[in-house]
Amino acid sequence: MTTNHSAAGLQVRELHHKFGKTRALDGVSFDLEPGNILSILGPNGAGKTTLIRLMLGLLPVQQGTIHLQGQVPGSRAARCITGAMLQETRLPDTLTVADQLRLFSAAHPAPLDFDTLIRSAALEGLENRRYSALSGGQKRRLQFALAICGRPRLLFLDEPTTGLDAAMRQDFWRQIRNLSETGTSIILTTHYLEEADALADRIMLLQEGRVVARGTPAELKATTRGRLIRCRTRLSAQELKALPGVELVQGRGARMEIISSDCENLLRSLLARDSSLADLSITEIGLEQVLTHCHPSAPNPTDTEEAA
Amino acid sequence: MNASQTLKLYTTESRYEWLKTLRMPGFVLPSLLFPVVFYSFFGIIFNPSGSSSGAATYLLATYGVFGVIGPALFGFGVGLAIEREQGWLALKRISPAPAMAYFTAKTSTAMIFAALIIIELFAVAALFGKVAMATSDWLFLAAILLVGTIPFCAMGLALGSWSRGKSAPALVNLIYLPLAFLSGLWIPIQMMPAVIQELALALPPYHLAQLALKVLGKDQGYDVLLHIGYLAVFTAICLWVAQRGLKRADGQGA
Amino acid sequence: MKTLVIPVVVIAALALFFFALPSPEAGHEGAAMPGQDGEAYLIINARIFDGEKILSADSVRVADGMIEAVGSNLDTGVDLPVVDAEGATLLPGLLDTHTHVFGEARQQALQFGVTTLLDMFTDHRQLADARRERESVSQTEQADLFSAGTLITAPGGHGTEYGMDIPVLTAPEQAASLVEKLIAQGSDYIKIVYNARQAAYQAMPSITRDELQAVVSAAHRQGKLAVVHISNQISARHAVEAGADGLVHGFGDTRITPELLALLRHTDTFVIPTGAVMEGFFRRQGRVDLTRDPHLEPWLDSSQKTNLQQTLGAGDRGIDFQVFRDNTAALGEAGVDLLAGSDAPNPGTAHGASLHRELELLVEAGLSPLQALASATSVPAKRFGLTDRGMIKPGARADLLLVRGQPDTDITATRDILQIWKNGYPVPRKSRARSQYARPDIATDGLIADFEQTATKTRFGLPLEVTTDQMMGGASVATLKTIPSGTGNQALGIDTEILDGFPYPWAGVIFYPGSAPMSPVNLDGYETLQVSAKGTPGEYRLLVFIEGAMQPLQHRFTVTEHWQEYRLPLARIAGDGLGAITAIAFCAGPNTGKRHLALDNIALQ
Repeated sequence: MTTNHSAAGLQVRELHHKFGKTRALDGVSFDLEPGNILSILGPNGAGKTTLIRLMLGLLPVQQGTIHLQGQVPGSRAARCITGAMLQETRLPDTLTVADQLRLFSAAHPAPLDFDTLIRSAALEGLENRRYSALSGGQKRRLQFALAICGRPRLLFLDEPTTGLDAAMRQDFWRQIRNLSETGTSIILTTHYLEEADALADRIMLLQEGRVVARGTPAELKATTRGRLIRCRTRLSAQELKALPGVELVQGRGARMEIISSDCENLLRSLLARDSSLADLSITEIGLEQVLTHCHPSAPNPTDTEEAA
Repeated sequence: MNASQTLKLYTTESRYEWLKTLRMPGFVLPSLLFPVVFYSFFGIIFNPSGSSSGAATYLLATYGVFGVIGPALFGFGVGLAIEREQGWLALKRISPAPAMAYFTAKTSTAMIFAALIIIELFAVAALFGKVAMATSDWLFLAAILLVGTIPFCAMGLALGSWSRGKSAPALVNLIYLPLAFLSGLWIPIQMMPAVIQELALALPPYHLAQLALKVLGKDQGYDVLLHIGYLAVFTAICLWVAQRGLKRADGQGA
Repeated sequence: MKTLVIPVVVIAALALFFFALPSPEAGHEGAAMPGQDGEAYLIINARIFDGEKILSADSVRVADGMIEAVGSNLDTGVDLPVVDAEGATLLPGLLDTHTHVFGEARQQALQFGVTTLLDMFTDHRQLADARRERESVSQTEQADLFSAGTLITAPGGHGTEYGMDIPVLTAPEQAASLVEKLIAQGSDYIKIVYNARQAAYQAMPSITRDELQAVVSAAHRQGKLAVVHISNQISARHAVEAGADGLVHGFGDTRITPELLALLRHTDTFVIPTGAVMEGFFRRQGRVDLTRDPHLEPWLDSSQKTNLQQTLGAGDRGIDFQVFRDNTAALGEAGVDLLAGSDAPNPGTAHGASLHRELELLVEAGLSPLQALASATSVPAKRFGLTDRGMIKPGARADLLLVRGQPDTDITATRDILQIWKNGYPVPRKSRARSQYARPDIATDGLIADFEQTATKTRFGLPLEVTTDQMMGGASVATLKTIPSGTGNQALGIDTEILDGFPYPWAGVIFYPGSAPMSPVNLDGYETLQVSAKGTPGEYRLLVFIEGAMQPLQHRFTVTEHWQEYRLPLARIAGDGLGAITAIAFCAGPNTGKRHLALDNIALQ
């Protein structure tokens, strides 16, 4: 555990947040070291965006604390060291790429120089194009450029690659890695394990406002490795759940999907109990499938904090 | 930040706000054309008193008010509602630029539009409406109209902070046009039924129009301080409402 | 460099723009208007209505208060100051042929281009001055006045209700001496009030038909016109048959008969229909509110505005405004001379402004705009023998009116006044919207009287006085004394007794806020009149007197036997008249009987 608070890039402690009666965050704590990339993973509604907005000062903190290099979210000092790409942002259609970059750069005390910025966001030749005439990928690159124009120490990227094709995503990842190497701490939310896997030093899995898992990508994948068994069986979901090594059961009628951490033993008992079992298939799955399959109860939260 | 940096920041914000708005024909054309077209029709061509410049002079003040509050309401009301919904406002809030710079940019853009509308109207009034006033009166009228946009910027801010982007233009029109009519901006207030005349006392454009008409000596004779006081209180209320509206939008996580 | 150039260019362009914006031409502003110092000048490029028709000439030369020449191209080769009247029409100064001149009437009328007032009943003591003034060509801010002086009526007849000494006639033999008496008082013509015995509506006593005949004859023997106030067809016929020169009202009780029309034509009797006042009396709905006319409103003072918004509680006298108007139309069509007269300042009218309305009503009744203009210029001048006015011709007085547009096609253009000249001098037009009267010295608590020392002591204005209908010949009485108030201090006790004598009896206490009785003060800004009151239970009246208005404004309030605080809505009662309050009274009446009223702590809020 880090004890030197001011040196830490980011500290979040016991963050709770409610929208009316809906609980959005329920006791989230984590740290981010300078130059590290943290990926917050979770399905829609898990609280990722709320967490980002709190850290950016767009929402007032209700309970808990956030320190950005010792600064309070939303303060001018904090805003000077942060940059962000937000979800579903549309920039004014009538301003050109250069207009937008100059406008945002002007707000920063020591912005990146214009040509560097254009180059690092791969916007060469698009300077005089209006936002409305940009392609989806170009729009993202412009938003990325706006996020980094002030040389942020902390960069927040809220689902930055949603809707991008594979090649564009690869480009984007490269830019992020470059930035991280210059010492910028980055927080990235995503649906994609692949993305987290490719970029993050640490992953934090968020579900219903709680941290349900955290660790390095390797650690997380190890703890959540399993197999998906699909079959037709006369056993009920109830009966299936009682079997050894079953993590999750779902299905309709006779058609069942079972996730198991102990596939071989489970198959033995399955076949023993249901002689009519048919259409059997077995697939190895990663964290991503676990996530998409298991909404309510993910793999047991593995406390990896000690390991960190 | 030192003063020159701050100044540069404010001018940059204002410059791009102006460019952004100027490139929207859907905003620019109605804002710049409607007041002068309406004024030409009702103040000059269909002037009820023939070639007299009395009505043309009176209506110059009221259509001036009509003209300058348009960009204030639309620029702020619709602009803010849309930018809030598109997430642009959030992006601006994250950036180190002070929030005041954003609002100042919007206000100055509304004022530049107001200035253009004033120049247009004055030119038409002078060339075709035979309106003649002392130079100091022309300047004074222009100044009142220009400064008078501020309460309506605040009103636009209040509307924009509560309405949705899509419905904002309709909402602002629904408020702007009846407000203009009932405040006597199209037809002199003296020609309205007594009920409307009394109602007008409650409406902000009426008070700005009366201030403008005071320059021409054609107002209804209330105290200047009444009008200024009303507009000041109205501005304060709008700012308060806007603040509430923006807070509420935060609370919804929008 | 570039950053500096742009603002400088913008500022320079703006400065140029604003200096290029037109300022009022000298010709349209009092300051540099030729004639100011009595020098000769030219009015050029005008459309000229000479009192009868539009001339082909376009210029007028004015010198020494008179029109010296009318023609075209008068400006060639002479070096005179010039008024360029391009786009405007020049008219003779207007005559209002039925008015009552009290107070500010002559100033008010002149502000609307009415340069001559023919009065049909006033205080004759002003006539000697008026005669001297109208014969002079010196600079003035008042319209000239010709007047009937008072009038001739029966004892208790119309004309006697205003509390003045009126010649009354009880036998035909008195006619000659009464006419002589009026002429001695300065009457320019004789006005007679007549209502036929046969008429359906009998409000007040009238002289008999024989007496009417006798007065008309006596006037004619003295070389004076005899004009008759009538309000119905039968009386009109009697008047014409008696040889009257003119009728000073139209009528609307019955449709005018062809016989009477023929008779009027035959005898060449003129009629002053006075639609402007009739409209106020009888046409409650659809009446035009002149205070909303942007060409009239700025020049109306607060008392005129108040008066315009009043209606006389005339009730239904069997007069239908539509019939009245049809009769006016029939008279015009038959070729009877119609004269424009407003009967200002009766309720619903205002001096000056209402004449413009009368012109519009005449056009609505079927006269051409040109005929209507003549009815306020050449026709009345001719009928009243005024040779120096009503026409634009060499030798006429330079009473002129320059209006924008063409009133001979749109009669309302007479209201869009560019310039008025009286005796050749430009008349300054001052916006009258705000009260020109002084504010009395009122303490912050607004107190008028608390009665701690005497029953009549006031904090400003004059001491309180008794007011009763005795000034109108009534018999009601009132006395003032101090009485103990509920709180151990003193209050004002008013004992009143309303007695028969005057048709609208009153008795009570009156407060004059000015430095002299009935001198107006400005109470703008005060909302209510606060007073504690108790007394004989029943209704009492607050009367508010406005400068220039004929009747006080009334507000009723109910008093009980116990002290009670009242907040009487002074501002709402007085309306625009709040800037010209002459007196405030608390009165009992009109029901007869004895009453006691106690008042305390009267204050303005």
